[in-house]
Amino acid sequence: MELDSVILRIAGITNRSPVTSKLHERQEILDLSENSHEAVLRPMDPGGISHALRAALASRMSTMNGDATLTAHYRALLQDDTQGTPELSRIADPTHAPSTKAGEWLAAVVRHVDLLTASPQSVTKSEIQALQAQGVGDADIVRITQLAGFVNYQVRFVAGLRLLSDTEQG
Amino acid sequence: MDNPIQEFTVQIPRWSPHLQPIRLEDATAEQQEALEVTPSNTKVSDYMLVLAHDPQSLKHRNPLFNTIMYGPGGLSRADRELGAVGASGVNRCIYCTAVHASRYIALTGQPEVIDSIFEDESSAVLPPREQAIFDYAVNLSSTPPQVTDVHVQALREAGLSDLEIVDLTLSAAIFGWANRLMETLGQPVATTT
Repeated sequence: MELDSVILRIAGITNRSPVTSKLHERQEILDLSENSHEAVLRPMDPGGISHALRAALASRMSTMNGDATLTAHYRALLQDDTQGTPELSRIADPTHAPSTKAGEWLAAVVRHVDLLTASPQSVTKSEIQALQAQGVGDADIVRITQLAGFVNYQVRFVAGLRLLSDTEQG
Repeated sequence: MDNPIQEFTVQIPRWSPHLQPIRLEDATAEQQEALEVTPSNTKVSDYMLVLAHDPQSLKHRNPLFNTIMYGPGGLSRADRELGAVGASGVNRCIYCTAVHASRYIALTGQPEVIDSIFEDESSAVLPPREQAIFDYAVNLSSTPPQVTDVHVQALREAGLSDLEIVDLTLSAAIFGWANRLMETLGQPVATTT
């Protein structure tokens, strides 16, 4: 049986890695993770959060988490998306804070994603109300939060697999 | 008025949503499927009804969460709960910490482990095996993650197999997701009778 998934590719796990034999026992989790990746990056109903914006935000969060390989993965998703724009490419980099001139809606979404990644405990009811006041709908708030949740899960799953693979006892 | 609970506790709070939950009677077929609503299962929490605003992500997240936390084999239930507590403490998710600290105590009868964690947080001093598990979960959960081969080595010395380390990674990582939902889409408030 061949294992293949975004998470294994990013973690650098091949079918010859010793840890692979353990992962066969967690095939269902790898499959559900892969389905989740699709559901938050390329959902059938993206609502107000386009596939291209999702890829840009995922790249931004991967960089904030110090994962260059995962960043490259999401950069490539953004590049392949026909809806990509120069502004979205800038947003993919966390050192860029979009000005409200680029649109208050987009600035509010990016700011929220930064909080979700770096300090989720600081998101209070007034943060959510401020998002709503910028015209971010309730369903889009849930979509953004699920995207941030998934990417932060993926970063940590990958980090653990890499360590396990690098320190393999054979 | 709702004042959010700010301190770690094992008393499970009520979760008060910041967004309007969907109404179950208005749920689309896709939302009902994601919520796993059946004629015998019509009790759905506000938390799930908020997440149902985005049914496609919910449909895969719920089984993923359940398989990671309750799936057979590998790391024990209690040790997975300790991983969840380590992650939830870093993210200061009061609700998640209360639920999973309670389950840990129920499974192990070790309230003193949770007492130490609530008191000293990431610098808690625990028995060796619990220390290795907790430290790994804590260091995996920061942004960016700070976990290193030293933490993996400590887990191996505590007797964890590679499969168990995969399971611990998953239980801490899935709370990197769950905490971000639970503590930003609503807040923990005192239960009222």
